[in-house]
Amino acid sequence: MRFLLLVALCGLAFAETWKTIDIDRTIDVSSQIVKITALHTLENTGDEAKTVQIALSDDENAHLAYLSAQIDGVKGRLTVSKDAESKNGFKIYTVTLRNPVAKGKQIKLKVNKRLTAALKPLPAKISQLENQFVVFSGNAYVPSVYAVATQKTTVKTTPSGKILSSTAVNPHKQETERVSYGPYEKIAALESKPIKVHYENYSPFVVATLVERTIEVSHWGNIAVEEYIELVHKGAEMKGTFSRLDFQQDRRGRRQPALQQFTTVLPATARDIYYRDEIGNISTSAVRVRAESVDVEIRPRFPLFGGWKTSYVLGYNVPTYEYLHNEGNQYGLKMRVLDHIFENIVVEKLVTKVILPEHVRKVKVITPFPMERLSDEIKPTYLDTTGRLVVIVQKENLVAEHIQPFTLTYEFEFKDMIREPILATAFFFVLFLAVIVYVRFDFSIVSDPLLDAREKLEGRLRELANAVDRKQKLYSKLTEAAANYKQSRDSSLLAEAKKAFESGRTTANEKLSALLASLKKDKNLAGQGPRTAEIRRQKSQQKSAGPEETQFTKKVEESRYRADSILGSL
Amino acid sequence: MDVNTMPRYTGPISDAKFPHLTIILCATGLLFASWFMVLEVTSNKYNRSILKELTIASLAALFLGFGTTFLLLWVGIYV
Repeated sequence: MRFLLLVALCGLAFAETWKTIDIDRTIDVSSQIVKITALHTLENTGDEAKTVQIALSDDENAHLAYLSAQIDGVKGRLTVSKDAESKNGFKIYTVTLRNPVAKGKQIKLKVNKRLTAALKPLPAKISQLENQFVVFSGNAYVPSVYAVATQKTTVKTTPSGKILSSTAVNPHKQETERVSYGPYEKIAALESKPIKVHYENYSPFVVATLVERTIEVSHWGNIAVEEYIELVHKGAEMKGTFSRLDFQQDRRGRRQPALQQFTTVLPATARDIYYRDEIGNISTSAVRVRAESVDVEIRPRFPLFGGWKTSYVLGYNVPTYEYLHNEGNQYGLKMRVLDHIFENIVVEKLVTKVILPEHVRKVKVITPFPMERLSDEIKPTYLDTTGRLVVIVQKENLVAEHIQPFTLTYEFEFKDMIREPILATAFFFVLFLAVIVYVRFDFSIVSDPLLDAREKLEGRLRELANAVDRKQKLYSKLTEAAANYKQSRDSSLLAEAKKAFESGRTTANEKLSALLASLKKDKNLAGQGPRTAEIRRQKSQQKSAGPEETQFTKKVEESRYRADSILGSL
Repeated sequence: MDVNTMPRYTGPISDAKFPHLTIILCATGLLFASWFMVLEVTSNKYNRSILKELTIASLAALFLGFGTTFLLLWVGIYV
């Protein structure tokens, strides 16, 4: 029965026109991520082909975080189909090649897989001083859609870590730090041979259960990035109590299966970096500015042992010129959808929020890999009227290979930016307007006629003083004209000035007499008016003057003085 | 529209100028504001002029409004 099935499968495989000549696979299990790199050497035995199929076991597929394929030695990833078809305990994906491959030609296809949560700690619970051992379950044969002529697999375990046991599938070799399987010859398509490797893995299995990355774009030239991160150590759980003394004295040092410190790599232009957890920042941290990046080294409040969790916020500012581009009212933001947190981290859930300025239109998001776009939110913040648009995208199960840029394009008008200071201006103006209205209300309970009259009189006197001032200006203008005449001998100008003076004087006199009349009327109300009103005395300055002129000037001054003294006596 | 071919975007005002702008604009604004307040408390209903009050108030508001915006930007609240 089994043989028949195999024959049937072989038949299927032959129809696929490809033949696998060799597979060299490396499985790196030194961290919490299973990193599988397989180099397939394939030969086209049928017609010209544009697609190749790759297989993953169901077990691999269940833990799959990242899958990519590329031609060895050529840059750029090939398109891998999103959906896989199930066949006999395997999932089959289709890879589209850039150029069609003719019959008899060979290609070298490099397939990268990243599996998360695939290593099981055994024992599941350890005390503080014990080492962490894990079990890797895999397959001695590389899953392949086509029959494989030769293949070999190397499982790389943690450096200087013990290997307790490994399933033997001959030829099989267990060395320090590695277990090699193969070479195996003539393995049929979709054949499997389960293996298990039980070994020591002291790297902390720290998983970010939630990464909330908020990118706030300000058109004043800044992009603020803030990441809220929840960490859980998902390795062997710690049993018993924690001793700080044992922890400090532990001779394993960095090789304890606990997260003691980590380094986050930020962009080179990052500034104003801050770190805090639930109740502030109690950590030993350092910021190292390197040529290509800014490294933040953080030693959290407590080391993270198996089953322990923590959360923190890390934020920084970057200038817009690194990530924001524009042409007219078109803007394009190109930033990483997920940034470096620390080496070999697994992100269970990533939520990336982009806060855009107010009144943006035609927002389009292009993500490097399929992500779920949640419904937009509105975030009201400083100097906002309707609130800012928040674009949210989400994805689960990510690894370092997912650190790729997304592109967000939108339209924005400059006038919407200038609205912010205008809003602040309006606020202050309303405040002053309130003062203007307030002083115009009369809150006195009893009316005070004396005070009222005095205020009225003061007002009148000021008006009078202004009127006198105005009249005196007319006089000085005339004298100026006379002085000018002396030099230019232009009688028309003098006549003009005289005319203007006379008409001005009549109106001024009328006004003055009217004011004086009303002042007299008011005088009776205010028992005692202010003795003096300040009126400036102006001196006409003349350098050289004839005797007639000096006389005239004297006369003018005298009359002015008289006017002043009259005003003063009021 | 390709983002990579578009020119890079920088803010309309360099962030090195925020402190200067804040101090100059806020100082001028406060000067006008204090003049306005002195005017309000010293004048009475016979000698006040609404035009003068509104002019000074709007000048004070304009300088203070822009000054506060730059103050926010200076302290790191990127509005």
